[in-house]
Amino acid sequence: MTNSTHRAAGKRLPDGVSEKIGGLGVRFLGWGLDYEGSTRSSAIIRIGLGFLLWGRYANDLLPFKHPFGLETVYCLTFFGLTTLMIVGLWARTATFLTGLFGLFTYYYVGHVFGHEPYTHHHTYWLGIATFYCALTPCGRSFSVDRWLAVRKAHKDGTPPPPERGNLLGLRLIVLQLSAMYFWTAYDKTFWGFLSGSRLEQIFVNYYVGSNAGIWMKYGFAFAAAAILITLLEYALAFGLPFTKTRRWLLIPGLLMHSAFYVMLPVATYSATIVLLYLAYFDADRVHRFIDQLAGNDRALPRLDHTDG
Amino acid sequence: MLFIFLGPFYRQVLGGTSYVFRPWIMFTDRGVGIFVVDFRERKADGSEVRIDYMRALGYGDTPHRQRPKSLWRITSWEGVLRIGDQLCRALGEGRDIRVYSQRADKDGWKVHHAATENLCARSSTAE
Repeated sequence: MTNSTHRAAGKRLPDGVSEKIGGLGVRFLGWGLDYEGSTRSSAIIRIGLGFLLWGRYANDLLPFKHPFGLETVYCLTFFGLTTLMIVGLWARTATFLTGLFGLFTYYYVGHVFGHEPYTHHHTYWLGIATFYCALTPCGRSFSVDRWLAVRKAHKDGTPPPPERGNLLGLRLIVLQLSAMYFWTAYDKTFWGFLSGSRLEQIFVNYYVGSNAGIWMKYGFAFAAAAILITLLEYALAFGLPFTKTRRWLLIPGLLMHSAFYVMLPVATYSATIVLLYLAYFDADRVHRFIDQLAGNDRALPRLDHTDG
Repeated sequence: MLFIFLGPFYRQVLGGTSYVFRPWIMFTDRGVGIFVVDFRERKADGSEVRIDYMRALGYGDTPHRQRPKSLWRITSWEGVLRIGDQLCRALGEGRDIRVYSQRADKDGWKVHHAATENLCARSSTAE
């Protein structure tokens, strides 16, 4: 109901509420759609995702493992696109097509064709994150495209093109991470998990087997871990996007994913999420940090934007 | 954005099944159905002594991953009974072997068996 409808019914929204809601909405849209900054973060994500895609799929998609025909085309397309993505030649287009390839692999090969190992969360992340990365000018930094552009600028006697652009894709990655953390915490919010039993069962399944013996005496430790993980994931969902809360949550988040990576068969999931944490940080700050590491103290022009 | 946040809502809250929307559920079924067993020998005075069934069956020094899967990860009551039979044969006649077992369920551990019968008496009856 609009404000006018409420007034007509004798009810009124408190003064300024609708303006505040509208203002928040405009700010949120601006946070997403108007985010402009250095392209170095998205380039690092581009390259990292390329290697993670190789880590997950390369062994499966070696052409000699498949009958000659359409599957050969599928395999060679994977290697061709990911190579272009990593080296950064026609980088944004290659990344976009690789994202489509990853989502095709997840949806069609995984769900429609029925190849179950491709239907998991880690394969979804590889596809969707690559697609989001293509919604940034991820080829403007750390790429053959960049090298060619700089070389051309030198020849023409002009300044090299700025490593800047609209970074909507990074905002979508942030939103996707928050959604994942919230819903996976929601999935754990039931007695079977919070009591520690599910963690204990997973531990028994992978580590000690049915002859668990003395390990069944540590239920309290599993309960504590289960509650901690669930609370942390809720906190990560709401706290990582904001600078003030991120400083407290970053290390625990990284430690949690490291523990998952080492202790459970999560394939490329943890490594992908740790890489994508880069999307939380202000892209210009990342750019300056890399400059500092390289001993280059040139300052970037500061833009009037917020990072959440 | 609706797809990102409401897709899982459709799957996880409303129970939708369309694979177009990604639910964020992980390791949901891992470990479910596994049995944890505690074999014990009941003495004449009623006291019970725990039996390490892996050691009793000769796999005590075998690395975990090289042990037979049917012994390492028991996933059925029949599997428990088979191990009980092997223990009775391995330990000799006249033993009173009992088993306490729990089965992993999504809601937690469920007590499956609580030493109500002598497995060796069951084995000798079956023979």
